[in-house]
Amino acid sequence: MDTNQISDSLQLRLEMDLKKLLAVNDQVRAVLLATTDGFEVAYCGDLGSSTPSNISAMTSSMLSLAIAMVNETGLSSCLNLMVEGGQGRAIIMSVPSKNKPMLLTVLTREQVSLGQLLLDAKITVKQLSDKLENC
Amino acid sequence: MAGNEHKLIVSGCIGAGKTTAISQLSKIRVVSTEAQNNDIQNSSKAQTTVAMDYGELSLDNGDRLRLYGTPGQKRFDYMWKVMAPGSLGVILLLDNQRKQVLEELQEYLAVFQSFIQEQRMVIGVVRSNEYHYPSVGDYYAYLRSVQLQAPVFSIDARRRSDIVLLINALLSQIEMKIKLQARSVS
Repeated sequence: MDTNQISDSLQLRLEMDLKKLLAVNDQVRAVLLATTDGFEVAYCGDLGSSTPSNISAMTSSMLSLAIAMVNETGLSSCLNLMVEGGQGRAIIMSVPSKNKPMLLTVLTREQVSLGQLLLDAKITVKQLSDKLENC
Repeated sequence: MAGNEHKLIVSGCIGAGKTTAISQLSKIRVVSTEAQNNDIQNSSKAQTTVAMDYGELSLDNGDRLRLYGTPGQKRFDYMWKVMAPGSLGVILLLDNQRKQVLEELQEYLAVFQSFIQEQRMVIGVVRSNEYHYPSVGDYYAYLRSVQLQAPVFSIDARRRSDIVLLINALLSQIEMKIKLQARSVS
């Protein structure tokens, strides 16, 4: 990835937003920010046995497939994708930005409240999006 | 359903023309999953496939080919493994402009090993007119050195006739193998 595209200071500020989400919701296990083509930008928390680079690439594939399906079925636009596992959920959300669109992945524990999670994650998306838009 | 359905995989290096090849052949609007390419050092393309391309092609005998294009980059290699099962064969596109093309070939051969061992793979090399090394002969020599064989063609992925050539070569090879197997059984 062309690392010149994201300055160190921007990366730090993005990381802060991820850490805030991790701190504000105790059912959030890990938070990861990736480019739309699957490169890791920042992450915090516990990704289990996986690596940030693997999750980043998979996130990119999964959301792009969801977008393709939404386009095929005329559902207008795909804003997020949720995977429900036996021991928690994974939510993948688009982080809109004119120049640097990205993807936010939130991994949760089993007892997460979906409504609270979506609210917290959307606030983080907005914060990230503002920073990426104004960088 | 009029005929049989077959699944074909189009895989290979980033920028080798997999999406273009499927677009050239497909009789339906191609389903693509492209994202902004941030890896400018690796490829100057503006967009890159991150999950798959999908297109369909009808054959003269009424059979239908379902064409699945993979992402090219190694970080998406799980998609290669996800898409391979149940496929009739693999069209592998390599880009001679890439300096590590033989190393990349090695990676694809490892993932699609069963296809090449069962003679269900063809290789198309793009940009060999501008970048002469490795030559088609070099590719054959490399395949021989690892005890594998597959037809190798110099092609232009933007030319429909070249992609049709690859598909015909692949289908002929598979058909011949089936006939030989049937003969040995009877």
